Amino acid sequence: MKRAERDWESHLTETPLGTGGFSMGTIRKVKERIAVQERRKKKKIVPLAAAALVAVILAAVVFRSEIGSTLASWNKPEPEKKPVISETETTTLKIGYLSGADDFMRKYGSPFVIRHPMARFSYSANVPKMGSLEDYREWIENEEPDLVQIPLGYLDELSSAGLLTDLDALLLRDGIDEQNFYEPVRRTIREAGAGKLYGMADKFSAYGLYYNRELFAEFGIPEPSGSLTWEETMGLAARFAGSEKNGDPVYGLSFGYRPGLSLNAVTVGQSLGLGTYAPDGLRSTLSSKAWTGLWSSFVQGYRDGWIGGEQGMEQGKSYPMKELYKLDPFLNGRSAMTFQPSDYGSNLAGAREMIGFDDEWALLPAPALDESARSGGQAMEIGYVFAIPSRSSQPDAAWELLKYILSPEQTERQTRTVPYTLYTVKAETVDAFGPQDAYYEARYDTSLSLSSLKQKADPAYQALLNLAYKSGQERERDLLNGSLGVEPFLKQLDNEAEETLRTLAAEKEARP
Amino acid sequence: MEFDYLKHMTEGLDRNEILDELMLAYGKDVWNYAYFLTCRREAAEDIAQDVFVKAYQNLHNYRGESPIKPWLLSIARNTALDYLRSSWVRKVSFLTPHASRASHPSAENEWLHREEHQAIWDIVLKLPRKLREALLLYAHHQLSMKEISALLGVSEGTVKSRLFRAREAVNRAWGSSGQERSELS
Repeated sequence: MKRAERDWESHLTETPLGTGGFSMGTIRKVKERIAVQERRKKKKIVPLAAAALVAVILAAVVFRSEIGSTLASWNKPEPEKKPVISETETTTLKIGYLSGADDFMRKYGSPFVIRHPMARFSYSANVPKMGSLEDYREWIENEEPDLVQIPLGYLDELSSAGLLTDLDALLLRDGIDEQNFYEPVRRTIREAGAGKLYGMADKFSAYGLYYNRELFAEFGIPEPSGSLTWEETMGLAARFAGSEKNGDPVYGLSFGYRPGLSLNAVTVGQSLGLGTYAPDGLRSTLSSKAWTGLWSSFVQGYRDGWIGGEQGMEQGKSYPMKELYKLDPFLNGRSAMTFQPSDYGSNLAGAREMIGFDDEWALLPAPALDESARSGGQAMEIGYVFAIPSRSSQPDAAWELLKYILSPEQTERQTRTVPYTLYTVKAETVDAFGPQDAYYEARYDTSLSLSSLKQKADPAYQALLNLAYKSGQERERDLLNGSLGVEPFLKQLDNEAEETLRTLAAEKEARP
Repeated sequence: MEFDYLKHMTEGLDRNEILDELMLAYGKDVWNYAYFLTCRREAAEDIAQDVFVKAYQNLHNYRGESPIKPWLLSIARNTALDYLRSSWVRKVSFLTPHASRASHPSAENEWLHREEHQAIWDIVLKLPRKLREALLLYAHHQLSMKEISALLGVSEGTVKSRLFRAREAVNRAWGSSGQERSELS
């Protein structure tokens, strides 16, 4: 929270308005002044040069033989280690970066050029972004970029096809300790690459359970600690049922400015990696025991008022951030807990600044599905990794760039401008992450992280999730007033989901 | 790491090319630092020119023992302190630094952000010089504690203490100005 207090500090990375600054005019004036000085110097040099010539001739006569050779050896320059990126000739690296050239230069390119003034970048215009594995394969083969960003989910196939460089060899060659990289990220990427390190991400994200310490104290409820299950979380939230503060309701749990029952039940289910269909691709699993338990507790919480279900943002309408903060019960000190992604820290800081949210909060890892999952850990999200294609014509220079992207100094630089991101490499001189540290102390389950990743890339999985969300939204009123039970609702959902699966299979069959 | 090639100046690299690179890479840093120290645009312009003329003259002496940016900032600092010590400057008391806003018309929704941005800079530029300097070397120029300590010639502990005091002072001023703003709105 110290960080939030210092949110004004981010303004200082820019310049005071209207101060102008260093311009091309200044550069011209510096050059003019230097030219004048050089001309003056040359006028003085003629007599000095004559004197120097006499001195040199005398020295040559007096100091020949041994003394001369000793001096010569002293003056002989030490052989310099050849730099990977030339200091005299331009090295141009071809970059495949998802967010485009401007973003790349701002985050990585400009600081790298300052360190390697002869480095330049060209950009692939055909980055497949949301493309399929085949799109990525073709792109790397055809364009032969030097450094790329690729979905972690494709790492295994692209490396198996021999398209990516094994970073292990480069780490070993340069004596870089891979423990510099946050272990769960490294482990997950290594697992995705069948044991080898074919890429690395500079950041990751995860979900967390934020809680308001002051509300727990005020209502005499012991603060949560360690890693909770969803059942324990819901049980804790239920203890706030009927609570009020200044005449307004206080909730045990809320979900920001998107309070809908259906959206949040589905979001939590997805974060836990709950499946939507069986391996045969024909049967829905949306009425599984895990989904049923989740929907039941959500319906109970919304019905009894301990999950915040106030009016949230309207879809399609745009809001200033300040108005969004006002719609989030947690940011208004009226929710004991909220389940949010790791960049929620920026909302907490923004709310402090804009609407005066000043409560003391803390953070726990995301709740686990059940007791058995608690010991395994939670999922982390690593969308894309940087990798060096094996056909790069300049793998060493690309590696220098990647080393910089993954350096503590780069993290430190990024931390100052985007402080609520979870970086893979910790900055050297960051005082303390504060509550964000909980994300680094959480346990992460590699296989859960990777299966979640595959689910996100699976159109059938996403289609059923979307169906569950829409169906739940349409029947929300019936679910909450009890005219539709959770089990009959999920049975109906199963039927609709299996219909969707059949349609998808038929479409796939019909595709040439 | 940075500009390592300066170590090999005597091996035939063109000094003018290096000067160009340095001015493009660090010109703004030097100019801004001079402005932060003097709070005068004209002085910042003169000092920035002086810094690069001096850097050009001393390129042969630079051996890469410190990164190039702190080296340039140390020249800027010495030049600015000489300027501030000059008798003429000491006789003139400056008004609170204010940047010209007239030449920056902006959309209304940008205006509020700019107002806030300007308000913070007004607070920071009013800080005592030592606190202002430590804060801006850290937050604006993004130097490490070690680099700031070497540049200012004080211990890292002193740098941390100045940073702490600067932040406290800004937090206090920012808090009270926020109250004023909300009372006005």
